[in-house]
Amino acid sequence: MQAAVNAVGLTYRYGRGTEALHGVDLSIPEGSLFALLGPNGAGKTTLMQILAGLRRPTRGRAGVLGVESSALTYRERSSVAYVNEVQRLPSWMRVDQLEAYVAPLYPTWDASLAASLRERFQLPMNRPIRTFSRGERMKAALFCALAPRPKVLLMDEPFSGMDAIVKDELVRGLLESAGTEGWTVLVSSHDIGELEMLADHVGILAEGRMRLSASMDDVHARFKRVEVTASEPWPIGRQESGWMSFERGGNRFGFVTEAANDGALQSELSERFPAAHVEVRAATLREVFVAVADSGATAEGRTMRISA
Amino acid sequence: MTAIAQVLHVARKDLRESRWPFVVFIAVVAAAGVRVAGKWAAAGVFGMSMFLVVLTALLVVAILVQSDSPIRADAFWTTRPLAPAAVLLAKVLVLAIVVGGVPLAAQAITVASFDVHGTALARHLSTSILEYGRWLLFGLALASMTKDLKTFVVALVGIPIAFGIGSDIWAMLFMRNSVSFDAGSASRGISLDQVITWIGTLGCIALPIWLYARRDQGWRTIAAGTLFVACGVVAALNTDSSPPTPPVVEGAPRENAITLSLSAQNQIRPGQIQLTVRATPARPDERITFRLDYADLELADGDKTQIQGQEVAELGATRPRSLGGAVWLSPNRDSTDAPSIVLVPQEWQKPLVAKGVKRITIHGRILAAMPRVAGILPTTVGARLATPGRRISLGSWREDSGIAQLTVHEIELPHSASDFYLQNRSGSRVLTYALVNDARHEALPLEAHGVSTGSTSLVLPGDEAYTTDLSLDTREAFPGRARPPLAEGWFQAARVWRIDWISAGSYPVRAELTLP
Repeated sequence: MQAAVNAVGLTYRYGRGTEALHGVDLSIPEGSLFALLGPNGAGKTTLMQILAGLRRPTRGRAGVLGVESSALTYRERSSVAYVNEVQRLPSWMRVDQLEAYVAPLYPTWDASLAASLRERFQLPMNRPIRTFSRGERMKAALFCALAPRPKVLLMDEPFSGMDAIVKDELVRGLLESAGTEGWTVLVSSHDIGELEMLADHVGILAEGRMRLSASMDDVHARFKRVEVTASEPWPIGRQESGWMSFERGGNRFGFVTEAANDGALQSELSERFPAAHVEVRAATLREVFVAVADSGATAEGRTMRISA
Repeated sequence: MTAIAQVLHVARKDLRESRWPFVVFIAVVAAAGVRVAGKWAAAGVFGMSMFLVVLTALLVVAILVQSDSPIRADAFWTTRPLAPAAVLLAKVLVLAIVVGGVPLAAQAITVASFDVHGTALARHLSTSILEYGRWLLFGLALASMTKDLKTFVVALVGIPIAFGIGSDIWAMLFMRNSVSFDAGSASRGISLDQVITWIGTLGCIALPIWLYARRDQGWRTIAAGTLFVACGVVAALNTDSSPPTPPVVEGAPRENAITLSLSAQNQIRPGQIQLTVRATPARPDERITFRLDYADLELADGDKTQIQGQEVAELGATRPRSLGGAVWLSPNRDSTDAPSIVLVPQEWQKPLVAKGVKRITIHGRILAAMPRVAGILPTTVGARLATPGRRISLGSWREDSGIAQLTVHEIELPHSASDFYLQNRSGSRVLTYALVNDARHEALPLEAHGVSTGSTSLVLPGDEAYTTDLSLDTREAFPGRARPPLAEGWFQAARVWRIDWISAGSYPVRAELTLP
């Protein structure tokens, strides 16, 4: 499948100092919903801004819909929507004024979708945006981003400040729209639970490096959570190579690892620890995120090695 | 949406978004305009109004530009399908209409209130457009490279201070033993000020274009931007205060050649060379003003040096032979002594001059002028007279023991380069006021004993009104002679006449003096 969003060797340096991104490679297939995860300061916003054409990379290339991001013409930009947690909106406008300003800029502005979004988000119509709560501001930003039916939607912390009901509704709406409209969505959030439900691809960015980029199915298939429980307090147990998020306490220890085959991993661990109960299950996205972000090494393409 | 439609779309948004700052700005402009337009005397400090207009304009520019900042990654417009050029052009359009057009209209009304119209009005406005335009350019560039109003204000204050300190340090370190940059080249070549002005002007045009097109926040852009903006401040502040060079105006008889001789008393000293200048008027009533530009000195050992100067000498008539058929009751005091001009060598030139001077060639301009009655005022306190470019009011009037004493306030706009040297100057003996008794066809010259001059701003920079308070009286009309008795009620029937000297032509002139 053709990549709607891609990056090759993307590096970004602020001024002459901090390197926010270091050789990031990324490929998001058309029509997919890509979750970008990363701890604070990992470079997610910088990556999003480069993809949206708001910053120029120091090195490497970033493209959207086959066009260099920094060279997007204003006509091409109408197919790319970008929503940021801290995005500035014309705060003096009311929502109807905002729509009157933004709508003529987009040849694809869908008035009926706009009306439906206004209703769904319950946007206040009679007061200026500067009086909006954080959640309401985000809804207004999403309203502007979704109503033109963009081909690529870049969303940086879109659920920020939203209550659970609206968040669920938005996630459902996005899933539905992305499926029917064929939108390509790149979304970053700290709300990993929502993203797991939403995304079909995931990338984990830490310290400016892309530690993992894979389909959600692949992630679930590759990353396993292992719990080893003994009947007595565990005499040994140290972290071994390939064990990520290693935890131990009392008579048990657990870790996340990469393994293609659950059965083989179970057998191998059962053989090594015969007196213990070994449980292997697919790791949740949160567990994968914590494990990969903390591991400090690229997980993609590695094979798990277990030593005695 | 086409690019043009985008420009108009964003401009409409800007007009609405910044409506309150615009209202405040327009109020400041209106207040400045009304205050100047109705002014007849120099009292008051309405010089502040121009400063307030420029300051408010800069803040409005910042608000306008930063509402769609080119350097903020979180700016709303950057995430919309808007052409950067359209956004910038919309800003420029709104700027031109509101921040440029409104005060320019106010300036035009203010200048026109001095009864100045047509090409003279256009000439006045052109200098304001140039100077105010530089301020707006500077504001546009600074607003483009600052993220918010607070940063803008800090930079607005900080950059000129930093530049001032920097230039002082530069002068201290590198210019201690040298003459001024322009020495020897004032009349030709390019000065440092001009280079800075050009860098500032072009840089302040290029910077917003670059920032909107590239949204580049790299250190090179910031460094270049800071330099451009700093030069932009200098360009905006760099008003040419030196008197204009009068253009060549055909019409003056060329036979007004001047002759030079050494002043009898001073001769040549290393620190000063005093020369007498003579000219014979080709026409009766002709006033001749000579302006020295520079003098070439050929030294005794064959070396050459050049002395700059802007000395002015009045030659020829100092008052017309008659006024509207009236005869002067006092004798003509046109001096038979030739006035002097002084050449002052710079420190480094003094040893050269001390070696001896063989030949002096002076280069300058002759301006010929003829008198004309500009207007007539009754001798009533508070009486007013408006002539093109000037307002005159009578501040006080007293007649005592056959001597009339009066004060006159003048507010006038700058004159053209040709007229510049012909106007009232402190110490000038050229007659500009007279008392005329129409019924008796008699006139008395009014000598100025106290001249207080100043200037005050109009609405915009680049133009100003000069204020002059003159204390005039008839005391000196008969120096060293008995005052003839005046007819009973002579002063009551007299009126104050204002005399203008109208340029009749100007041309460059050169005179040579070979020393024994």
